[in-house]
Amino acid sequence: MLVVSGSSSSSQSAQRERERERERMGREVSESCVDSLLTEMVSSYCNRFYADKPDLAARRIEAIGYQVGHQLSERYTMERPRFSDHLEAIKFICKDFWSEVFKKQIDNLKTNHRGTFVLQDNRFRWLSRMSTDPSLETGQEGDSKATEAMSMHLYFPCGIIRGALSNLGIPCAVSADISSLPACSFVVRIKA
Amino acid sequence: MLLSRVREERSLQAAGTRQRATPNGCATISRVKNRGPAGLDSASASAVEEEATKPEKMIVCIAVVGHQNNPLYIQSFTEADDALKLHHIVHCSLDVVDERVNNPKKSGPLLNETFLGLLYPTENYKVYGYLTNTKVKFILVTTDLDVKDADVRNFFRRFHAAYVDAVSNPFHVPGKKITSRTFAERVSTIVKAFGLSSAG
Repeated sequence: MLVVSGSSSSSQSAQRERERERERMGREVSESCVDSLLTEMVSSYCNRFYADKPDLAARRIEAIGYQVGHQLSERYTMERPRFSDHLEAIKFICKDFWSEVFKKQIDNLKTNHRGTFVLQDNRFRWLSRMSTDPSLETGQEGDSKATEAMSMHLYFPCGIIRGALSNLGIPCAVSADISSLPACSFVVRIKA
Repeated sequence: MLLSRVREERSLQAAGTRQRATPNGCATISRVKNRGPAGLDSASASAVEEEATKPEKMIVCIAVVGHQNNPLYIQSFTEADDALKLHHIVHCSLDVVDERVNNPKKSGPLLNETFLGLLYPTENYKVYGYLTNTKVKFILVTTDLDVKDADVRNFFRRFHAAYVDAVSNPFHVPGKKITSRTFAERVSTIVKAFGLSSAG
């Protein structure tokens, strides 16, 4: 995160110069802040607002992601020609969009050419620092609980992808698959 | 009488450059109007008014139209009470945008560019269009009849940036009208800057 310390003695022109500098550099956000925010958001929705309704919590988190994706896609497509087909839009998500959000591209893109795309990130940043509670790590039950908790954190990025594509005129459904951690796959199904 | 006035105008315009003719032209018209009979018919009166505003180079209307052709923001920048006429011009331009987008062959090398160029000229106005990736249309109506494409492009770029900032406001509901006052202020700044750059 870029912190601009505002000293009272600085003149207005210097401040304007700094603002221009910031515009040129683009805005940066601390990764740990985003991680904390995501964790806190998920835990608030799952444990406080909708403690006994995980479906509802998931829907709410996905909706927040949707709005974020919707706004980001507007910003990131500003200087680009319009997309002519779905594949071009998906490629944009894989390359430019992902680079802007995660500073890396999607590692693997698969499609069946009938409206389903699988976007695989071999080291998804928002999961890379997650570890399971050691007291839960024993046995099947612990495993399933850890997976459940982790998948809760994936509704937000799923919502981001869905929001971005919807804003580009592609209605779709997005789900995440974490069967081969730390890789994470997002499955995009375009609605005809 | 009308004829003599027109002749007077012509000679004035011939004498000076376009910009210089503006204040003179306005003064003449108002003088003539005061002197003229009270029973001046309304059609010729409005024609005179149009003549008066015509040489002024400026953006008279700017509109943002959503992907379902729903108006998101429309603002006219004229003193006169002609908002309805400008809205009509904007409305007509939407069909031209659709035509451009659905028949990309006609637009040639500018394939899929966001800037759609001149949509259509009318007698007093030129209408320019811009279509974002998210299918939001920007429509610009200007009285500047020999505006440069580069200026319009630059205007749309700045306008798009303002629009993106406005819709990134968490309190903005997507698909609803933009009511942000900051956005309105920023737009009027950009519009003023456009007037200066193209007049100078």
